[in-house]
Amino acid sequence: MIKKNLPLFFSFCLIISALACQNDKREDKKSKETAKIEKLASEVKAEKIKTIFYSLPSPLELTILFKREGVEYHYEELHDPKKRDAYVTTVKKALNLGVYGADLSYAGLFAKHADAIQFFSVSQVMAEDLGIGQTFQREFITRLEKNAANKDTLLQVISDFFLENDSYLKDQNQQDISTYVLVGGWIEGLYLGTHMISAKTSSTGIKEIIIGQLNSLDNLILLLSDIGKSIELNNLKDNMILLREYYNEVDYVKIDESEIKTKQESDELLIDNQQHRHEMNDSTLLKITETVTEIRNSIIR
Amino acid sequence: MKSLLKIAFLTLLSYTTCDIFAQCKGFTKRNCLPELVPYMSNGQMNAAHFVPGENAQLDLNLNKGLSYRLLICADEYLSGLNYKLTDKSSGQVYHKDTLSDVFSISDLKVKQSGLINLEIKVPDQENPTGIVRSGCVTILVGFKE
Repeated sequence: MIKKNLPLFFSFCLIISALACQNDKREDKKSKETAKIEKLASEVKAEKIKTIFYSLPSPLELTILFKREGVEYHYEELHDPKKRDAYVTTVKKALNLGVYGADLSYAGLFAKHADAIQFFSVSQVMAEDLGIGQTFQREFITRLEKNAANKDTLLQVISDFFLENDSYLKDQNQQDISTYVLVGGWIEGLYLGTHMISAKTSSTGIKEIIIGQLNSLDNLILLLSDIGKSIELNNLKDNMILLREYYNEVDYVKIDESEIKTKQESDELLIDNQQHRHEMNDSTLLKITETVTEIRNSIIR
Repeated sequence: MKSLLKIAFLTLLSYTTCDIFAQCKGFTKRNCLPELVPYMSNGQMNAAHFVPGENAQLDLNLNKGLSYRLLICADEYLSGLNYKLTDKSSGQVYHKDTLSDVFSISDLKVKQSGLINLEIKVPDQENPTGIVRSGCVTILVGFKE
Protein backbone atom coordinates (compact mmCIF):
# COMPACT_ATOMS: atom_id res chain seq x y z
CA MET A 1 0.00 0.00 0.00
CA ILE A 2 2.78 2.33 1.03
CA LYS A 3 4.97 1.27 -1.84
CA LYS A 4 2.03 1.76 -4.19
CA ASN A 5 1.40 5.27 -2.94
CA LEU A 6 5.05 6.35 -2.63
CA PRO A 7 5.20 8.19 -5.98
CA LEU A 8 1.97 9.98 -5.07
CA PHE A 9 3.39 10.92 -1.68
CA PHE A 10 6.59 12.33 -3.25
CA SER A 11 4.52 14.24 -5.80
CA PHE A 12 2.47 15.70 -2.96
CA CYS A 13 5.63 16.72 -1.07
CA LEU A 14 7.06 18.26 -4.22
CA ILE A 15 3.89 20.29 -4.81
CA ILE A 16 3.86 21.44 -1.19
CA SER A 17 7.51 22.49 -1.27
CA ALA A 18 7.03 24.19 -4.64
CA LEU A 19 4.06 26.07 -3.25
CA ALA A 20 6.02 26.94 -0.16
CA CYS A 21 8.85 28.12 -2.36
CA GLN A 22 6.41 30.18 -4.41
CA ASN A 23 5.04 31.61 -1.18
CA ASP A 24 8.62 32.46 -0.19
CA LYS A 25 9.08 34.14 -3.55
CA ARG A 26 5.78 35.96 -3.10
CA GLU A 27 6.84 36.99 0.41
CA ASP A 28 10.19 38.05 -0.97
CA LYS A 29 8.47 39.98 -3.76
CA LYS A 30 6.03 41.41 -1.24
CA SER A 31 8.81 42.52 1.10
CA LYS A 32 10.66 44.04 -1.85
CA GLU A 33 7.48 45.88 -2.85
CA THR A 34 6.98 46.99 0.76
CA ALA A 35 10.56 48.21 0.90
CA LYS A 36 10.01 50.03 -2.36
CA ILE A 37 6.82 51.68 -1.04
CA GLU A 38 8.53 52.51 2.25
CA LYS A 39 11.43 54.06 0.34
CA LEU A 40 9.00 56.03 -1.77
CA ALA A 41 7.09 57.10 1.32
CA SER A 42 10.26 58.25 3.01
CA GLU A 43 11.18 60.13 -0.15
CA VAL A 44 7.76 61.74 -0.19
CA LYS A 45 8.19 62.50 3.51
CA ALA A 46 11.61 63.99 2.83
CA GLU A 47 10.00 65.97 0.04
CA LYS A 48 7.48 67.22 2.59
CA ILE A 49 10.28 68.78 4.64
CA LYS A 50 10.53 71.51 2.17
CA THR A 51 9.46 74.91 3.34
CA ILE A 52 12.39 77.17 3.96
CA PHE A 53 11.54 80.71 4.85
CA TYR A 54 14.04 83.49 4.43
CA SER A 55 14.36 86.30 6.88
CA LEU A 56 16.23 89.50 6.25
CA PRO A 57 16.55 92.63 8.32
CA SER A 58 14.33 95.40 7.01
CA PRO A 59 16.06 98.63 5.95
CA LEU A 60 14.48 100.15 9.05
CA GLU A 61 16.20 97.63 11.32
CA LEU A 62 19.55 98.23 9.62
CA THR A 63 19.07 101.97 9.98
CA ILE A 64 18.38 101.63 13.71
CA LEU A 65 21.58 99.62 14.12
CA PHE A 66 23.73 102.10 12.20
CA LYS A 67 22.18 105.11 13.90
CA ARG A 68 23.08 103.67 17.30
CA GLU A 69 26.70 103.54 16.20
CA GLY A 70 26.65 107.26 15.49
CA VAL A 71 25.97 107.60 11.76
CA GLU A 72 24.37 110.88 10.76
CA TYR A 73 21.76 112.00 8.28
CA HIS A 74 22.98 113.43 4.99
CA TYR A 75 20.23 113.99 2.43
CA GLU A 76 22.74 114.23 -0.43
CA GLU A 77 23.75 110.57 0.08
CA LEU A 78 20.19 109.39 -0.55
CA HIS A 79 19.04 108.41 -4.01
CA ASP A 80 17.68 111.21 -6.19
CA PRO A 81 13.85 111.00 -6.10
CA LYS A 82 13.70 112.57 -9.58
CA LYS A 83 15.34 109.50 -11.07
CA ARG A 84 12.25 107.38 -10.46
CA ASP A 85 11.07 107.77 -14.07
CA ALA A 86 14.40 106.60 -15.46
CA TYR A 87 13.74 102.93 -14.76
CA VAL A 88 12.03 100.96 -17.46
CA THR A 89 12.45 97.27 -16.72
CA THR A 90 10.63 95.46 -13.92
CA VAL A 91 13.96 94.39 -12.40
CA LYS A 92 15.23 97.98 -12.23
CA LYS A 93 11.94 99.28 -10.88
CA ALA A 94 11.83 96.64 -8.16
CA LEU A 95 15.48 97.10 -7.15
CA ASN A 96 15.00 100.85 -6.94
CA LEU A 97 11.78 100.47 -4.99
CA GLY A 98 13.98 98.73 -2.43
CA VAL A 99 16.52 101.56 -2.58
CA TYR A 100 13.89 104.28 -2.11
CA GLY A 101 12.33 102.21 0.69
CA ALA A 102 15.65 102.22 2.55
CA ASP A 103 15.97 105.99 2.01
CA LEU A 104 12.46 106.36 3.37
CA SER A 105 13.53 104.42 6.48
CA TYR A 106 16.54 106.70 6.99
CA ALA A 107 14.49 109.85 6.65
CA GLY A 108 11.81 108.43 8.96
CA LEU A 109 14.22 107.33 11.67
CA PHE A 110 15.99 110.68 11.69
CA ALA A 111 12.54 112.33 11.93
CA LYS A 112 12.96 114.20 8.64
CA HIS A 113 9.25 114.22 7.92
CA ALA A 114 9.31 116.26 4.70
CA ASP A 115 11.98 113.98 3.22
CA ALA A 116 10.14 110.89 4.45
CA ILE A 117 6.94 111.97 2.74
CA GLN A 118 8.89 112.70 -0.44
CA PHE A 119 10.46 109.21 -0.43
CA PHE A 120 7.17 107.64 0.50
CA SER A 121 5.51 109.26 -2.53
CA VAL A 122 8.30 108.01 -4.81
CA SER A 123 8.08 104.50 -3.33
CA GLN A 124 4.32 104.52 -3.73
CA VAL A 125 4.52 105.54 -7.41
CA MET A 126 7.12 102.84 -8.08
CA ALA A 127 5.03 100.24 -6.25
CA GLU A 128 2.03 101.19 -8.40
CA ASP A 129 4.24 100.94 -11.50
CA LEU A 130 4.98 97.38 -10.47
CA GLY A 131 1.28 96.66 -10.17
CA ILE A 132 1.22 96.55 -6.40
CA GLY A 133 -2.37 97.27 -5.32
CA GLN A 134 -3.38 100.88 -5.19
CA THR A 135 -6.20 100.70 -2.68
CA PHE A 136 -4.01 100.05 0.32
CA GLN A 137 -1.41 102.59 -0.85
CA ARG A 138 -3.94 105.40 -0.39
CA GLU A 139 -4.58 104.21 3.15
CA PHE A 140 -0.87 104.67 3.97
CA ILE A 141 -0.82 108.23 2.66
CA THR A 142 -3.83 109.11 4.80
CA ARG A 143 -2.11 107.61 7.86
CA LEU A 144 1.09 109.53 7.07
CA GLU A 145 -0.72 112.83 6.63
CA LYS A 146 -2.66 112.36 9.86
CA ASN A 147 0.45 111.51 11.89
CA ALA A 148 3.13 113.57 10.18
CA ALA A 149 4.60 114.85 13.43
CA ASN A 150 4.67 111.54 15.26
CA LYS A 151 7.92 109.65 14.66
CA ASP A 152 6.73 106.33 16.13
CA THR A 153 3.64 106.30 13.97
CA LEU A 154 5.72 107.26 10.95
CA LEU A 155 8.01 104.28 11.54
CA GLN A 156 5.02 101.99 12.07
CA VAL A 157 3.50 103.18 8.79
CA ILE A 158 6.82 102.58 6.99
CA SER A 159 7.15 99.03 8.33
CA ASP A 160 3.49 98.28 7.50
CA PHE A 161 4.12 99.60 3.98
CA PHE A 162 7.03 97.14 3.47
CA LEU A 163 4.98 94.26 4.85
CA GLU A 164 1.95 95.05 2.73
CA ASN A 165 4.07 95.28 -0.43
CA ASP A 166 5.80 91.98 0.29
CA SER A 167 2.53 90.28 1.15
CA TYR A 168 0.90 91.56 -2.04
CA LEU A 169 3.78 90.36 -4.23
CA LYS A 170 3.80 86.91 -2.65
CA ASP A 171 0.02 86.73 -3.01
CA GLN A 172 0.39 87.35 -6.69
CA ASN A 173 3.12 84.73 -6.96
CA GLN A 174 5.69 87.42 -7.73
CA GLN A 175 8.44 86.19 -5.46
CA ASP A 176 11.06 87.40 -7.96
CA ILE A 177 9.97 91.02 -7.62
CA SER A 178 9.86 90.66 -3.85
CA THR A 179 13.49 89.41 -3.97
CA TYR A 180 14.64 92.40 -6.06
CA VAL A 181 12.98 94.80 -3.60
CA LEU A 182 14.75 93.06 -0.72
CA VAL A 183 18.13 93.16 -2.50
CA GLY A 184 17.74 96.87 -3.32
CA GLY A 185 16.74 97.72 0.24
CA TRP A 186 19.51 95.69 1.81
CA ILE A 187 22.24 97.13 -0.43
CA GLU A 188 21.03 100.70 0.11
CA GLY A 189 20.85 100.09 3.88
CA LEU A 190 24.48 98.95 3.94
CA TYR A 191 25.53 101.74 1.58
CA LEU A 192 24.03 104.42 3.78
CA GLY A 193 25.42 102.86 6.94
CA THR A 194 28.93 102.91 5.54
CA HIS A 195 28.69 106.37 3.94
CA MET A 196 27.12 108.45 6.68
CA ILE A 197 29.97 107.96 9.08
CA SER A 198 30.87 110.88 11.29
CA ALA A 199 33.56 111.57 13.90
CA LYS A 200 31.20 110.07 16.48
CA THR A 201 30.79 106.80 14.60
CA SER A 202 32.22 103.69 16.17
CA SER A 203 34.13 101.74 13.52
CA THR A 204 34.00 98.61 15.70
CA GLY A 205 30.22 98.92 15.86
CA ILE A 206 29.95 99.42 12.08
CA LYS A 207 32.14 96.35 11.51
CA GLU A 208 29.96 94.30 13.86
CA ILE A 209 26.81 95.24 11.95
CA ILE A 210 28.42 94.41 8.62
CA ILE A 211 29.72 91.07 9.91
CA GLY A 212 26.23 90.30 11.21
CA GLN A 213 24.88 90.60 7.66
CA LEU A 214 26.56 87.41 6.45
CA ASN A 215 23.46 85.26 6.78
CA SER A 216 21.32 87.87 5.02
CA LEU A 217 23.82 87.97 2.17
CA ASP A 218 23.73 84.17 1.89
CA ASN A 219 19.93 84.25 1.85
CA LEU A 220 19.86 86.92 -0.85
CA ILE A 221 22.30 84.98 -3.03
CA LEU A 222 20.11 81.87 -2.60
CA LEU A 223 16.98 83.81 -3.50
CA LEU A 224 18.68 85.36 -6.54
CA SER A 225 19.92 81.98 -7.73
CA ASP A 226 16.29 80.81 -7.91
CA ILE A 227 15.54 83.49 -10.48
CA GLY A 228 16.15 83.06 -14.21
CA LYS A 229 19.14 84.43 -16.06
CA SER A 230 19.72 87.77 -17.76
CA ILE A 231 22.83 89.91 -18.24
CA GLU A 232 21.44 92.47 -15.80
CA LEU A 233 20.81 89.83 -13.18
CA ASN A 234 24.04 87.93 -13.75
CA ASN A 235 26.08 91.07 -13.02
CA LEU A 236 24.16 91.58 -9.80
CA LYS A 237 24.64 87.95 -8.75
CA ASP A 238 28.36 88.06 -9.59
CA ASN A 239 28.83 91.18 -7.50
CA MET A 240 26.91 89.67 -4.59
CA ILE A 241 29.11 86.57 -4.79
CA LEU A 242 32.21 88.78 -4.85
CA LEU A 243 30.89 90.51 -1.73
CA ARG A 244 30.42 87.10 -0.12
CA GLU A 245 34.05 86.23 -0.87
CA TYR A 246 35.24 89.21 1.16
CA TYR A 247 33.27 87.87 4.10
CA ASN A 248 35.62 84.87 4.05
CA GLU A 249 38.33 87.22 5.27
CA VAL A 250 36.44 87.76 8.53
CA ASP A 251 37.95 85.82 11.42
CA TYR A 252 35.53 83.86 13.56
CA VAL A 253 37.28 83.25 16.85
CA LYS A 254 35.64 80.61 19.01
CA ILE A 255 35.60 81.33 22.71
CA ASP A 256 35.79 77.96 24.40
CA GLU A 257 35.30 78.87 28.01
CA SER A 258 32.08 80.77 27.76
CA GLU A 259 28.70 79.41 27.00
CA ILE A 260 25.48 80.67 25.59
CA LYS A 261 23.48 82.19 28.37
CA THR A 262 19.78 81.90 27.98
CA LYS A 263 17.45 82.85 30.70
CA GLN A 264 13.91 83.96 31.05
CA GLU A 265 13.75 87.62 32.03
CA SER A 266 10.14 88.37 32.88
CA ASP A 267 8.31 87.49 29.66
CA GLU A 268 11.34 87.90 27.45
CA LEU A 269 13.91 85.27 26.60
CA LEU A 270 17.36 86.74 27.04
CA ILE A 271 19.86 85.67 24.42
CA ASP A 272 23.48 86.27 25.31
CA ASN A 273 25.60 84.41 22.80
CA GLN A 274 29.26 84.58 23.63
CA GLN A 275 30.49 81.63 21.58
CA HIS A 276 32.22 83.56 18.83
CA ARG A 277 34.08 86.78 18.47
CA HIS A 278 34.35 88.24 14.99
CA GLU A 279 37.29 90.22 13.75
CA MET A 280 37.45 92.23 10.55
CA ASN A 281 40.46 94.27 9.52
CA ASP A 282 40.21 97.70 7.90
CA SER A 283 41.26 96.43 4.50
CA THR A 284 38.34 93.95 4.41
CA LEU A 285 35.96 96.68 5.57
CA LEU A 286 37.18 98.86 2.71
CA LYS A 287 36.70 96.07 0.14
CA ILE A 288 33.17 95.40 1.40
CA THR A 289 32.31 99.11 1.40
CA GLU A 290 33.63 99.55 -2.15
CA THR A 291 31.77 96.50 -3.47
CA VAL A 292 28.52 97.62 -1.82
CA THR A 293 29.00 101.05 -3.45
CA GLU A 294 29.61 99.42 -6.81
CA ILE A 295 26.46 97.28 -6.53
CA ARG A 296 24.41 100.27 -5.37
CA ASN A 297 25.66 102.40 -8.27
CA SER A 298 24.83 99.67 -10.77
CA ILE A 299 21.29 99.48 -9.32
CA ILE A 300 20.55 103.20 -9.42
CA ARG A 301 22.30 103.80 -12.78
CA MET B 1 -11.05 71.03 -27.79
CA LYS B 2 -8.32 69.32 -25.77
CA SER B 3 -6.21 72.46 -25.66
CA LEU B 4 -9.27 74.48 -24.64
CA LEU B 5 -9.84 72.12 -21.74
CA LYS B 6 -6.15 72.37 -20.85
CA ILE B 7 -6.32 76.18 -20.79
CA ALA B 8 -9.51 76.07 -18.71
CA PHE B 9 -7.86 73.67 -16.26
CA LEU B 10 -4.71 75.79 -15.95
CA THR B 11 -6.76 78.96 -15.46
CA LEU B 12 -8.78 77.27 -12.75
CA LEU B 13 -5.59 76.01 -11.12
CA SER B 14 -4.00 79.46 -11.09
CA TYR B 15 -7.16 80.98 -9.60
CA THR B 16 -7.18 78.28 -6.93
CA THR B 17 -3.51 78.96 -6.08
CA CYS B 18 -4.16 82.71 -5.85
CA ASP B 19 -7.22 82.04 -3.73
CA ILE B 20 -5.23 79.85 -1.33
CA PHE B 21 -2.63 82.63 -0.87
CA ALA B 22 -5.34 85.22 -0.45
CA GLN B 23 -6.90 83.07 2.27
CA CYS B 24 -3.51 82.89 3.98
CA LYS B 25 -3.15 86.65 3.80
CA GLY B 26 -6.61 87.12 5.30
CA PHE B 27 -5.83 84.62 8.06
CA THR B 28 -2.58 86.47 8.86
CA LYS B 29 -4.28 89.85 8.95
CA ARG B 30 -6.98 88.62 11.29
CA ASN B 31 -4.99 86.45 13.65
CA CYS B 32 -1.37 87.46 13.46
CA LEU B 33 -0.73 91.09 12.66
CA PRO B 34 -2.51 92.62 15.66
CA GLU B 35 -0.29 90.53 17.95
CA LEU B 36 2.90 92.03 16.53
CA VAL B 37 2.22 95.43 18.09
CA PRO B 38 4.22 97.24 19.59
CA TYR B 39 7.00 95.65 17.55
CA MET B 40 7.69 96.81 13.98
CA SER B 41 7.51 94.18 11.29
CA ASN B 42 10.70 93.28 9.40
CA GLY B 43 8.59 93.71 6.27
CA GLN B 44 8.47 90.08 5.23
CA MET B 45 5.43 87.91 5.01
CA ASN B 46 6.39 84.27 5.51
CA ALA B 47 3.23 82.29 4.98
CA ALA B 48 2.43 78.97 3.37
CA HIS B 49 -0.18 76.25 3.33
CA PHE B 50 0.78 73.18 5.33
CA VAL B 51 -0.55 69.67 5.66
CA PRO B 52 0.07 67.42 8.67
CA GLY B 53 3.58 66.00 8.55
CA GLU B 54 5.07 69.04 6.94
CA ASN B 55 8.02 70.99 8.35
CA ALA B 56 9.51 74.41 7.84
CA GLN B 57 12.45 76.38 9.01
CA LEU B 58 13.73 79.89 9.18
CA ASP B 59 17.11 81.33 10.07
CA LEU B 60 16.93 84.61 11.86
CA ASN B 61 19.68 87.08 12.50
CA LEU B 62 19.38 88.70 15.88
CA ASN B 63 21.14 91.98 16.45
CA LYS B 64 22.60 93.05 19.74
CA GLY B 65 20.60 95.60 21.69
CA LEU B 66 17.32 94.99 19.89
CA SER B 67 14.31 93.04 21.06
CA TYR B 68 12.48 90.72 18.73
CA ARG B 69 9.05 89.19 18.63
CA LEU B 70 8.64 85.91 16.82
CA LEU B 71 5.05 85.22 16.00
CA ILE B 72 3.89 81.83 14.77
CA CYS B 73 0.30 81.52 13.66
CA ALA B 74 -1.40 78.39 12.42
CA ASP B 75 -4.86 77.37 11.34
CA GLU B 76 -6.82 75.44 13.95
CA TYR B 77 -6.73 72.32 11.72
CA LEU B 78 -3.00 72.10 12.35
CA SER B 79 -3.34 71.42 16.05
CA GLY B 80 -0.24 70.34 17.89
CA LEU B 81 2.17 72.32 15.73
CA ASN B 82 5.43 72.39 17.61
CA TYR B 83 8.39 74.66 17.26
CA LYS B 84 11.95 74.91 18.44
CA LEU B 85 14.38 77.80 18.67
CA THR B 86 18.00 76.76 18.38
CA ASP B 87 21.30 78.58 18.35
CA LYS B 88 22.63 78.05 14.85
CA SER B 89 26.30 77.76 15.75
CA SER B 90 26.15 75.65 18.90
CA GLY B 91 22.90 73.78 18.40
CA GLN B 92 21.75 74.72 21.88
CA VAL B 93 17.98 74.76 22.20
CA TYR B 94 16.75 78.06 23.56
CA HIS B 95 13.09 77.28 23.65
CA LYS B 96 10.60 74.72 22.43
CA ASP B 97 6.86 74.57 22.71
CA THR B 98 3.62 73.40 21.18
CA LEU B 99 1.07 75.78 19.80
CA SER B 100 -1.91 75.73 22.10
CA ASP B 101 -3.77 78.59 20.45
CA VAL B 102 -3.92 79.98 16.93
CA PHE B 103 -0.73 81.91 17.61
CA SER B 104 2.33 81.77 19.78
CA ILE B 105 4.59 84.61 20.77
CA SER B 106 8.27 84.42 21.64
CA ASP B 107 9.86 87.66 22.79
CA LEU B 108 13.62 87.74 22.62
CA LYS B 109 15.98 90.26 24.12
CA VAL B 110 19.37 90.07 22.46
CA LYS B 111 22.57 90.91 24.30
CA GLN B 112 24.90 89.44 21.71
CA SER B 113 24.25 89.24 17.97
CA GLY B 114 23.78 85.76 16.61
CA LEU B 115 21.90 83.50 14.29
CA ILE B 116 19.02 81.37 15.48
CA ASN B 117 17.07 78.71 13.72
CA LEU B 118 13.34 78.32 14.05
CA GLU B 119 12.02 74.92 13.16
CA ILE B 120 8.33 74.18 13.04
CA LYS B 121 6.68 70.81 12.63
CA VAL B 122 3.08 70.00 11.98
CA PRO B 123 2.66 66.49 13.42
CA ASP B 124 1.14 63.71 11.36
CA GLN B 125 -2.49 63.10 12.23
CA GLU B 126 -4.61 59.98 12.15
CA ASN B 127 -6.91 60.40 9.27
CA PRO B 128 -9.76 57.88 9.08
CA THR B 129 -11.69 59.86 6.46
CA GLY B 130 -8.75 60.09 4.09
CA ILE B 131 -9.39 63.79 3.56
CA VAL B 132 -6.25 65.81 4.18
CA ARG B 133 -6.99 69.28 5.50
CA SER B 134 -4.39 71.91 4.91
CA GLY B 135 -4.04 75.12 6.86
CA CYS B 136 -2.12 78.32 6.81
CA VAL B 137 1.07 78.81 8.81
CA THR B 138 2.57 82.27 9.12
CA ILE B 139 5.79 83.41 10.73
CA LEU B 140 6.16 87.10 11.40
CA VAL B 141 9.20 88.81 12.86
CA GLY B 142 9.00 92.12 14.66
CA PHE B 143 11.71 94.20 16.28
CA LYS B 144 12.04 97.22 18.53
CA GLU B 145 14.76 99.19 20.23
